[in-house]
Amino acid sequence: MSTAANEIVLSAQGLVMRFGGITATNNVTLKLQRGARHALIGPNGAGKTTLINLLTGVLEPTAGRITLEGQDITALAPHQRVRRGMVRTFQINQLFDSLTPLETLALTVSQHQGLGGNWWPALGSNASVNQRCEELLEQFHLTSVMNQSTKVLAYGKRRLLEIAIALACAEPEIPGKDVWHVLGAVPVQQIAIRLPVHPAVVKGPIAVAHDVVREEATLDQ
Amino acid sequence: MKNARPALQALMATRRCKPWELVLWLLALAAPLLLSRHALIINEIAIVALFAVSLDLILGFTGIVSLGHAAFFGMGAYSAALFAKLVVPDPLVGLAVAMGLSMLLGALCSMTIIRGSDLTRLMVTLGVGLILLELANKLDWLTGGADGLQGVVLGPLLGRFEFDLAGRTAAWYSISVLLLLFVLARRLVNSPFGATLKAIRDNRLRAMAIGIPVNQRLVVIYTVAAGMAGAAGALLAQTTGFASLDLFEFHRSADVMLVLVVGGTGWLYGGVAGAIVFKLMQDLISAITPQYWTFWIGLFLVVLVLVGRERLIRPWTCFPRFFGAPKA
Repeated sequence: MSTAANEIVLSAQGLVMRFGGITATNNVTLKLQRGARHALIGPNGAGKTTLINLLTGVLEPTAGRITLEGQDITALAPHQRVRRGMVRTFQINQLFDSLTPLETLALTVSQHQGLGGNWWPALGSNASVNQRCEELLEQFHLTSVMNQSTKVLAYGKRRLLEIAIALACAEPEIPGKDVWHVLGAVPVQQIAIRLPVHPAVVKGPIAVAHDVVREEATLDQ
Repeated sequence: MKNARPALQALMATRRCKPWELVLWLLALAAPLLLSRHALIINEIAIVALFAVSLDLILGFTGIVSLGHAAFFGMGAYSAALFAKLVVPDPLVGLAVAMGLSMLLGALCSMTIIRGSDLTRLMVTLGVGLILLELANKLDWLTGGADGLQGVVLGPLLGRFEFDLAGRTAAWYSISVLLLLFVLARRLVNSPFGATLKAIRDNRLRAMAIGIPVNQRLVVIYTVAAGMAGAAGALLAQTTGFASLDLFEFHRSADVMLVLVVGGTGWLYGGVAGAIVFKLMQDLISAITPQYWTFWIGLFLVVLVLVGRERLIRPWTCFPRFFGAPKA
């Protein structure tokens, strides 16, 4: 293995999250290497989602530190962590119901390319954004429904869109197929670490599942 | 990619200017001339439309419920009136100053709406509106208190067009400002920035998870909407030459919300359509029954909500059996 592969991308030290009297995660310490894949397994209520929420910044830990690529990100807001390359999907689809898949991806890609604050040019006026949207729609079999309102889509399409949004936050150079087969195979929630420079990006996801069998199947791929 | 065109076209289709829009605006600009006897009500409609469009930016596109939008309306009105009285009577400079001050107030007040749910926002915006009302009341050395701010005399528009008693100049002035700000708002909601606002409205959690700085977006749009509401208030103060506590009153905030309910949210023309219907109805019904016009407006709103806007405009869709089945 090369040194790049052994490098620790994401680590957490002594993460504690208490909701009132309930301790959801108790002193979690983990180190994730670049390119590795991990499974986080546990029964309902074990704190899997809490851990993901802590890592992505939705929740603020009661104690502990989180480090991404050597930098402490414990105090960063969720959107700032996304900018540093940490993208997630959700166990329960979190979509923009009144927008179409095309609009959803266009806005996500625009935001990722740093155009999210532009208020004068139209959303569809950037060629590279459109190109990327096309690729994602094609890859996730969403082209046929791209102009339908997201709330009327079938569950399968919604799940695909959920994953497509996460990938839209990653670099377009990522060889898509490698990536989304892994992500798409798990109908649960994942976290994907992006390397800003190396294209072998989303090779280090945490997959979260309730049962071991499904997880092994995912990790084998 | 062979299907790069359809996606591009689909994205661009919504923001292309449609023929009916041009016709609408040409009619609006011709209205003070064609219906010169009704220039005063046309002026009022334009002002209410601008106010409603500004509320639509935060309510319809960003999902911020506000019952205190009149705070910015009143702020703009008092700023414009005081500026004309104490500094320079030029309307355009006054308008710019009023918008600037309202935006400042909006930026300050935006701190109160970045946290909390709909209900807390409702209460907080309501509270801010009441605070400003009481301030305008108590600072009577500046605002004239309960007597209102009188003796506002404006200079001619662009140094040339005097405000006439019939209100024609006023109507053109208001419609022009409405058109200008409407075009800006239209660009804004169709841009990537506007798309991120809709994302926040639909799902704040996911908006954060794709890297949208949610709080910053809320501050910006709240400030912009405050500026537009301030412009509407300034137009009213300038074209009537008067500013009173009534501008800050709760019913202003509630009325503008009703205008949006009538016209529809999340669609900029909803504010314009709502303003036309609401104002004309108010005018007509209060001419027929001056005492009970609010009853009829209330009844109309109840019917509108129960029947639905779509079916009210196309009553035949209520009876699909007789008029052919609907598409779905």
